[in-house]
Amino acid sequence: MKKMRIFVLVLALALIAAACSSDSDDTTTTVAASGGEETTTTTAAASGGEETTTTAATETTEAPAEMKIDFGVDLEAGTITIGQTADLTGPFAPLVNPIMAGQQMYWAWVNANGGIGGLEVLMETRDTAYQVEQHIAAYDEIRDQVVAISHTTGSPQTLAIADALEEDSMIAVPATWYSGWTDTNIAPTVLHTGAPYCLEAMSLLDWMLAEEVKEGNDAPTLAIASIPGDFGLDPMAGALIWAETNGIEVVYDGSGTIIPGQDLKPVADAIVASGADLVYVTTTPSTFSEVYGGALTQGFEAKWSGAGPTYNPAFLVSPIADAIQRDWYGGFYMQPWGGDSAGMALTMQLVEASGADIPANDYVGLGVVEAMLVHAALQKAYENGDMTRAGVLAAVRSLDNVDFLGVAPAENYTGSTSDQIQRAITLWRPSVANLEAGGSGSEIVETDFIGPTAESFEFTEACYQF
Amino acid sequence: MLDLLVFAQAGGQEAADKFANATASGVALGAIYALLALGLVLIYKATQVLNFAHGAIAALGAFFAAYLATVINFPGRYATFLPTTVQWILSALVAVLITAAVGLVLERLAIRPMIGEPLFSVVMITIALDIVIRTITDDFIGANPRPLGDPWGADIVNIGPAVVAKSEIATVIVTIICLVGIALFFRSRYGVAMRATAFDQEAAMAQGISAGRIFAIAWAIGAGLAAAAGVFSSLFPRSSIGVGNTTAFFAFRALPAIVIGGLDSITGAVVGGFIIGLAESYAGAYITGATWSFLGLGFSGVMPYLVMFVVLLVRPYGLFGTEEIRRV
Amino acid sequence: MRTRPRLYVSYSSEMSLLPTWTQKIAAFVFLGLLAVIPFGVIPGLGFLADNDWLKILSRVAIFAIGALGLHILSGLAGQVSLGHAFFVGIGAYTAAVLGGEVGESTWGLGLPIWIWLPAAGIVAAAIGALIAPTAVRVRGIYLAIVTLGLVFIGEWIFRSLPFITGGAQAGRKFPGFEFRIWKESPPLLDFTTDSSWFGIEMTSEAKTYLLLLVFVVVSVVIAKNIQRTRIGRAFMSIRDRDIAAEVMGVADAKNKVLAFALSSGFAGITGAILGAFVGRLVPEGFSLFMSIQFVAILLIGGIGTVSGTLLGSAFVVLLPRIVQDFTGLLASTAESGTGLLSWVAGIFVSTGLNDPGIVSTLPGTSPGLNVGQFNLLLYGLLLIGFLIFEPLGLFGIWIRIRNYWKSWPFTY
Repeated sequence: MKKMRIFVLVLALALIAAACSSDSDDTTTTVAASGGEETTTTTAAASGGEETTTTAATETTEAPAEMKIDFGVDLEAGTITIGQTADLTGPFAPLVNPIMAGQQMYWAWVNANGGIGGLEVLMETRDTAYQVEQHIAAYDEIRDQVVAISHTTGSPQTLAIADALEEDSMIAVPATWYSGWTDTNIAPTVLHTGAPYCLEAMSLLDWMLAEEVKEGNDAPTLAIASIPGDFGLDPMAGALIWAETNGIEVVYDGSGTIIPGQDLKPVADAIVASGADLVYVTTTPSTFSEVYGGALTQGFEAKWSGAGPTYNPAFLVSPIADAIQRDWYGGFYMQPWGGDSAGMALTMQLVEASGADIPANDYVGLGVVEAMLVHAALQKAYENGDMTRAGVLAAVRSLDNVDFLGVAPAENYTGSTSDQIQRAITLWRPSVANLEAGGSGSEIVETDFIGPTAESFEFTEACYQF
Repeated sequence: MLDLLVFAQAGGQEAADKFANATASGVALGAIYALLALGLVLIYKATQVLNFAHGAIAALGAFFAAYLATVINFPGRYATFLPTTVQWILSALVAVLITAAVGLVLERLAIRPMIGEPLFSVVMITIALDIVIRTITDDFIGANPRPLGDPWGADIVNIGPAVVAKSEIATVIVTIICLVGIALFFRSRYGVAMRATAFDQEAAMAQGISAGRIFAIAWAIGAGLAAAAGVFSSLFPRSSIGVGNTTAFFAFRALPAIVIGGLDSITGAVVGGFIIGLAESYAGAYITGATWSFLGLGFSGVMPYLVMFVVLLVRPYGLFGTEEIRRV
Repeated sequence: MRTRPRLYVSYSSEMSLLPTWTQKIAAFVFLGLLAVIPFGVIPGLGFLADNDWLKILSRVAIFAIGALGLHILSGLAGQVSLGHAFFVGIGAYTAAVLGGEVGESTWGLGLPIWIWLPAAGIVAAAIGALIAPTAVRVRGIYLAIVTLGLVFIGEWIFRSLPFITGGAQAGRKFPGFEFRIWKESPPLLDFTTDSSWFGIEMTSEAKTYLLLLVFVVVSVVIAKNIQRTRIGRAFMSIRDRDIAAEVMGVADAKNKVLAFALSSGFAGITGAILGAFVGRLVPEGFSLFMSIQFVAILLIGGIGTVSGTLLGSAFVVLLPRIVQDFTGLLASTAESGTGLLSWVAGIFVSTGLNDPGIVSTLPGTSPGLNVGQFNLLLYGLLLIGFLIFEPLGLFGIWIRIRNYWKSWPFTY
């Protein structure tokens, strides 16, 4: 693990000419903390010298004497193939396409800098259109060609292939934050990244409550509404736990009542009628804009929040921009665009270097984070000399401190469910000024935030069970 | 006693407000349905084709409007002296015209070769067109949805007890203008020709009417109406975020409207549109809460289809449709 | 040569399943080839024995069964239906409740396959027969919209019954292909695990494929028999001239209801098989898109013919894979080689972030459509092309090729 982290870091430093000394100070301490075998690179990284970095990077990994492989690794051709079952044309395409872009840029950069022990990483992407059946077909098509799944869109979809993933010992990184991914009983080969929806809800509501108390309202009321499925119901479970823990009255519970493609005025009316001070809604951006717009027309004012994917930066150039700036309390599982970390600097640098014509987007960074996790797993497996799928799974299950260069909180993939749970999220507020200055419109308030309710909650199993 | 009376009055007031709000919202929704239904019926009347690609064309039109108004500011950039509202309306009009031109092309390339083919094939070709247009439109729209930059923004006004968005008022006004325009069109030279063609194609051609030209005109106007509907379905408060990759599916919600009204009746389209708009809105407002939980999730969404089934049981050709005379 | 081909000397021989010796031999050779695919012994087509291809071929089989159902309703009886997915859903959930395990919140009786598979067909057929009298009151395009409404109402029903369907965006598990005598008894035949049959090592994919092939053959025989007997002739007379048929004593409404019921029965079986095959489905899966796929199969294959329906199923299910591979091929041509071919491929394909092209092999950023979008676009364009240029579909193309060789060397 350590080697991979240093490797990435060193390359990042090489890429970012402006890397300052405080950055390398930070990172050297974590290097020491993470422990493990000693190599020459440690000194290279510790010295923080930019001149030596590139050569150091290529030396980081000595090829093991013997390499075990089964699927997706071709030592003769010098390639490693990883798969993605991604929603490229369905409802979540606006999020998934930037994620794929982020992965693509990251792997292109890894390959340009020597790959994984000289092996080039190739992507094999299939479109799922967010349909379970198509998702299963897509996985069936690539399962014998790949060593890992670096992206799988959607929880019901990922759950539908979970048995097959387990059978294949295939690690998979889901682009959903269902709390069950941390629950080792549900899908042992699916790896979480970031805090799950239900703990995110607790932290966000903790934050909103604190703000409300600051404004002099000690006993605010809560209204919740969501679309069906884990994406809606996992955060709702978190919100209800939060309300119970804090003795907050839930004046409207619309869990699972937002059905995309239908008139959503009734949901908006119910929220308005409840007169809640805090509203926690989780749905797709377009349906959220309908619910929120319906409430706005009736002059409703409250603090609104919801799971990360509910929000879309297009809100800030739409008619509801002013209102959303006033009302929305945003959370994300990693740093939004423009965050202060080596990882985000790397992401932004990659986007710039690619010359791609994409707007500043929080999900490009997510793609980089997903790829970093798979990179760590593959690197560790390479060092172990076992790049079979089972070997990669074993490798990732030995990583107790995967570092994402600060762009996302470090993760632990060993031990029990409660050991692995991630609680930290980034808090941010929407800002038109930030958007106009070339950002993604997300003004960071606090990184690595854990609300008191989220902190004290004992996480032993998924908040919402399928 | 007095307390009770006051309470009853307050309750009555609340109920009246609720009813007014549901009605206003139903009318605004119905106006968009009516716009969509107008285009569908016009195309069906002239060419006997039910256009399943209507939603995709609507989304394309809304994209054009968003692009013209917010990205290149056309034609407003050449007329900066005009108020921004007028500039936006001009952009929307240009978008409608471009979409109408797209309608012409579609008719010529894909629909005209299919005239007279079995019904199934004709239905399928519009579904195929829907897939093609929707895919291209999604690619145009890009990563994020595109707000339309309309001048009404999130402004609201009170009409009596009801609160409505200004954009909703604009929707209703535009629907009325379109309805009057179509009614006038049917009295014009081409309108009469279209009615004649719809009634008996061969007889019309014998009178020197170019059926091909009539088909083209019907598709152009139909596509233009779809674009208008697409624009208004992408405004606050219905979809504040603008036109995105789900906008195209909105048109499927308008299909019951044309069946209720009768596939070949302009009046029927508008009446049907408002009926299902109101039905959906009332169902959402009143058939909700714990009492009705046995109806499951999203009952208001199937309300239009249930109304449609009931109407069809009574009148198999819709409220205003002409009964088909079948011969052996 | 004992008799001239296509000279029928009796009515029964003309109406038989495979009228000529050529057809008999061709059918059995083709069936034999299909049956040995999993063993990878066909030269040049050995790759079809790979698990991913066997899965695709199994999918072809599943869609073929469903499409045969729609063939009865639309191809024979001429009733336009966009509601096929609804009946597929009914069958799937009947199977899930009867054969599935009890879940956190879902019902399941855990009954064996010989109960849930036929039950799926019977329940779907019964519901089809129940709805049909209302549906047949309307005709033509009105029927298309009514059946479309059925899909939307179906989605609402499925989403509102979480104890049956697992709930929207959550779904439930389905029973697998295991033949047992009763609930807990050891499976007599198990298609879900790898094992050896008659001394031959077989993967679960290979076994499932062979099972589905049997299902398809049975379905084809049933569909063919419906088509060539009294019921089928009644259906076709209604399709061609319904009032004339009624005058001649063919009961219009009764036969339409029968067509609906038969078609729904096939759809129900398809749903049960699909559920067992993929393992998990969400209620949203039984959408308009699925209905459209079945209609597309009929129209691409050639409406009104069983062989066309089979060809169409193969085409529609294989198309995404073919497009995917084709794009990959274009990309590697554009990347690797030099020369004209590579240059032509380069125009279409965008391989880099700043390389313009119609389709990009890299999702996300590159200009142009991503592979998924390209797939959809091609699917739509092919449909349009078939409808305009070849209304008889793949079957029509086959007829023309056959006629060309039959009359060779003469071109007329």
